[in-house]
Amino acid sequence: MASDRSRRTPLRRRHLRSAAVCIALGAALFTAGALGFSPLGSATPETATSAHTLHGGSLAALQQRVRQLPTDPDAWSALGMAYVQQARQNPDPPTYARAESALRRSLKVQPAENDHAETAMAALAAGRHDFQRALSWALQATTTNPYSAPAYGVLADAYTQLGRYQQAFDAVQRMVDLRPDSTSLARASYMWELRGDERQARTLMSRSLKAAASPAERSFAYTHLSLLAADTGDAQAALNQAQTGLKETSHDSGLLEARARAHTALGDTTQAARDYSKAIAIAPLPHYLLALGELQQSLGRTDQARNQYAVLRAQDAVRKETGARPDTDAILFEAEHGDPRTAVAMGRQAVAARPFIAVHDAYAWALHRAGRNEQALAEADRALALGTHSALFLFHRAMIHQSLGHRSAARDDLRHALSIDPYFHPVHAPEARATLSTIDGAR
Amino acid sequence: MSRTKRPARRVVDQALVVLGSSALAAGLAGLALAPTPSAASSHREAPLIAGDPRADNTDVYAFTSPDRSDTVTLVANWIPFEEPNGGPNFYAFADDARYHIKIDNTGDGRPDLTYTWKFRNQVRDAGGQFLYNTGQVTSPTDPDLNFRQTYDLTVSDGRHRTRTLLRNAPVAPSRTGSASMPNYGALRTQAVRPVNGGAKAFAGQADDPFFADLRVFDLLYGGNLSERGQDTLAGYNVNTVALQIPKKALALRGNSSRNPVVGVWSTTERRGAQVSDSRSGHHDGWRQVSRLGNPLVNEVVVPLKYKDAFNSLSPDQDRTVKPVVDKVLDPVLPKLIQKVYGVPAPATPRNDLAEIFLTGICKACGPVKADLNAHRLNKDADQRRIVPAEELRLNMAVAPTAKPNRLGVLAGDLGGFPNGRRLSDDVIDISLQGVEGAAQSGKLVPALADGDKVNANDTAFGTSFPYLALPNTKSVNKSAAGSPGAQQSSLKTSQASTVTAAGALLLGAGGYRMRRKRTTA
Repeated sequence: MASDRSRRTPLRRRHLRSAAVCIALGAALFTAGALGFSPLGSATPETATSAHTLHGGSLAALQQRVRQLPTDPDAWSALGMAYVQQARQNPDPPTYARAESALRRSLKVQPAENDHAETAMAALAAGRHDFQRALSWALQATTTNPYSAPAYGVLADAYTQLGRYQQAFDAVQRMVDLRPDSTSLARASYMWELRGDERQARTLMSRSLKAAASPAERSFAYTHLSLLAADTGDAQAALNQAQTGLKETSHDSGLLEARARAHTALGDTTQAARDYSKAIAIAPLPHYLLALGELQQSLGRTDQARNQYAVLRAQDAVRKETGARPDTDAILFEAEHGDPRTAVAMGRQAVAARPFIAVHDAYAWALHRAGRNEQALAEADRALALGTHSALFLFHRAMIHQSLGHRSAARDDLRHALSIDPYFHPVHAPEARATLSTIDGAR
Repeated sequence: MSRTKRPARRVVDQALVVLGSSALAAGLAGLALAPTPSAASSHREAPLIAGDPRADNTDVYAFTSPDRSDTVTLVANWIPFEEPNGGPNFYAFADDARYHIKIDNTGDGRPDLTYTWKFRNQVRDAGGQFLYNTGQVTSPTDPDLNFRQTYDLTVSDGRHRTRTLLRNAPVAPSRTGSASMPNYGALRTQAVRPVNGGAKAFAGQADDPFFADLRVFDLLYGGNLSERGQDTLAGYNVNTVALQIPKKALALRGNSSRNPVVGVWSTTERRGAQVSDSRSGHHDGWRQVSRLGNPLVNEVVVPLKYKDAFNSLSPDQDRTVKPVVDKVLDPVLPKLIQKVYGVPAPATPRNDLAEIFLTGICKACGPVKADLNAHRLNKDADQRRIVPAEELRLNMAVAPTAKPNRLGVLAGDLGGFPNGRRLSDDVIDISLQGVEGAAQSGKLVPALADGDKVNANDTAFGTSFPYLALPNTKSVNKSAAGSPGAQQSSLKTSQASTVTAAGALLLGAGGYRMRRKRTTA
C-alpha cells in the first residue's frame, strides 16, 4: 500500500499550519453562514437542478412568495425545503442556514401541527448528520400528519442511519403505500439494496426514474441505476446509465462520480480522473476527493494524489474545529493515509452517534489498520449483517480475517467481493486479487 | 512536495488548483475547505418532495351535454401549469399510472362504475434524439409524430367486472406550434373516438378551463392555500380525458328518470411496492395518490392539513375522518371573511355545507329547501346504505340550460354547480357565496356579489364534445410569482375573472389580473 507515512512528520507539521489558514477561512464562512444569510437572498448560484423546487416554481418564485405573504407558514416551509433540497445537491453551510431560518419563520407563524415545516426540519437535521434530531422532528411530523409520505420519508432516513432497519423498512413501506412516487420508490430500492437484492433494487429504481418529474429526481435515479449496475460488475451498463443522465443534467456531481466509476472499471482512467475533477469542481465532497486521490495513487501519480489528500486534511481540520462528527470518508482516509489510532477514535465517535452499516465498516477498517483485528471483525460483521452486497465491505472483512489467520473466511470474502465487482476500488481490487493468489498458492 | 517558505499558503493554493480556477474567489475557496455537512458517500439522501404533476388531478366536470341531452359529459384534468412550447418532450400522461373517473349511483360512497384510462407510449425513433415530431403532423397517427400515446379505456362495475370500451385509441398530441401542427383543430377532431353504445371519448391536451384567482384565498388565509411558488398564473394547458356517455349507462338500474343522481370523482393510482419480506400482505397493488370531486374542497371546507388523507381515501371513508366532517360543519373560511369583510359568519353547524359537499341537496337532507342532487332522490337506492361522502353530484334529470349562468344554482340556474359542474361555472364565486350561506338563505351575499365582469359569450368553449378550448400555444410570460403579468396570449380578448369584493380588494392591493383567456375551438 503506497501510503506517504514515511513523510508524515514534516508533512503533518505543514499540514497543521495550513489547517490554521483553512480553519480561519472555514470559521469565517461559518459565521457568515450562521448570521449573514437571509433566506431571501440567494448568494449561491442556482444550478439547473436546484432551480426546480417542490411545486415547479423556482427558488426565486418561492422567495417572492414569502415577501408577499410573510404570514403564510407554507410559503416559508416550501422555501425552507427548497433550500434543503438545494443543499442536498450542493451541500454548503450557508444554504443550510438559509433553510433553517426559513423553517424557523414557518414554525413561528404556525408553531403547532405544521407538518411541512416539521418534515423539512427533519430533512435539514439529516443533512447536517444530526440523526437523533432528524428522528424526533420526523416523529413529530408523522404524528401531525399520518398521511404524509414525505414525513415517513424523513422518518425512514433517520431510522436507517441510526441502524434501526426494521423500523426503516416499515416507514418506507408506509411511505410507498401512501404514495408510490419517485421519492418513495427510490427509498424502497435502497432498502432492497441494503439487503443485497440488486434485482429488486434495480427494478424499483427504474420505476423511480419512470415516475420522476423533476431533474433532481431523474439525476438521482440515473446515478443509482449506474451504481447498481457497477455493483453487479456491469460496467458498460453503468456507463450507459450515467451517460444518459448526464445528457439530461450535465452538471450533476453524483452522475459525474458514477460515470468516473464506470470509466475506471472499463480501464479508461483518463476519463475517470476528468470526471472526478469535474465533480469536485461542482462540489468538493470528501468521497470524490478520496476516490480521485486513490485513483491517482493507483496510477503512481502520488504528487497529484497528495493534492486531493491535502484538501481532505484541510476539510477534516475544519470539521474538528467546528466540532462536527467525522464521516466515513474521513475515517477511511485517516485510517488509510493518516494515523490509524486517530481513525479509531473518530470511528468510535461516529458509530456511537450513527450506528449505520457504512460507519461500522469504516470503524472496522480503522481498527484493522490500528492492529485491533478482533474488534475489527465484530464491526465488519455488523457492517455486513444485512447481507449488503458491498465489495468494499467484504474486502475489508477479508483482510481482517486474513490478519487473524482465518484463511478460508478471507478467501470466501475476497472471492465474493471480486465476484460482485472486480473493479470495486483502484487500489484495493488489485490487492484483493493478489491476496487471493497468495492464499490459494499457500494451499 | 517541495519545501517553500510558506507551506501553509501552498497547501491552500494547491487545494485551489485542484478545485479549479473557478474556485479562486475567496468565498468559494473557503467553502471548498469548509466541512460539507452532507452528501457523505455513506449517507444517501434521496429526493424527498416529488412533484407528481402527471398524477395530480386538477379539476373534474360533469354536466348534461348541451347538444346531446340524453348524455352526460365527464371531464377530468391532470398536469397543471403546462407551459405551451414545453419541448422537447411536451406533456404526456403517465404510462405507469391509472387514471379513473368513478361513478356512485347508490350513494354508498363506493364506485358502481369505474372508467379507467390506461396509456401507452410509442417512440418511433427510440435511438434518435428527443424529437417530439419530425415534420408536419396532420393526424394523431402521422409518421412524423415521433412520440405518441395511445390508451385503452375500460369500465368496471362494483364487482370488478371489466369491459373494454376502446383499445389503442390515439391521444391528441401536445400542441407544438403552428409550424409543425398547422391545423390542430383537425387533430383534436380525429382524436375524438366513438365508443359502442352511443358514447364518445377523448384524451389529449387542452386549454386549462379553470378560471380563478386563488389569491382571493391568499388574502383570507394569509396565503397557505393557493398554488405555491408558481411564477405565472395564466395561459397554461392541461392534459384532459373526457367521456360523453348516455345517461342510462350511468344511472342506477339503467333508469335515469327513477334514479337521476350520480356522484362523480376522479382518481389517479400508482402501483405500490413491497419493501419487506413480511407476510403482512401484498403492497404492490394499485394505490390511490390523488382524488378530486368538488372543486376547492381544501380551500373552502377541509383544511389543507387533511389533503394527504383525503387524497388516499375513498369517499365511503370520508365520514370516518371526524375532523374533516367537523370542519365541513364548522369551516374556518366564513370566520375569516367576517374578519376581513365584516360579513357575519352564518351560525353553525353548517348543515347546508354538509349537503353541498357530503350528501347532495334535498329537502329531507337538511336546511336547503330544494330537491336537487342528493342520492336520496334515487327511488331505487337503498336509503340505509347512503352515507355522507364527498362527491360531485349531478342530477341528470335537470335539462341543460340554454344560457348558463356562471353562478349556477345560486342564480337559479339548476344546470350548474353544485349540481354537477360545467366548464363555465364560476366555482370560486359560487363557493364563496355558498360558504356565506347563500344556498340556505336563497340570497346572494351582496358584499361578495360585486362586479364580476365575466360574460358567458367570452368563455368560448366548444359547442360540441369535448367542449374544451384548444391548447394555448404562446409561452406564458415568465414573471415572478405574485406579480402576475398575465400576458396577452394568442387570443383576442382578455376578461377579468371573478372580481369579487375580494378581487376588488386585491385590485386595490395591487396587481389583479385575470388568470385565463380563452381561445375558440
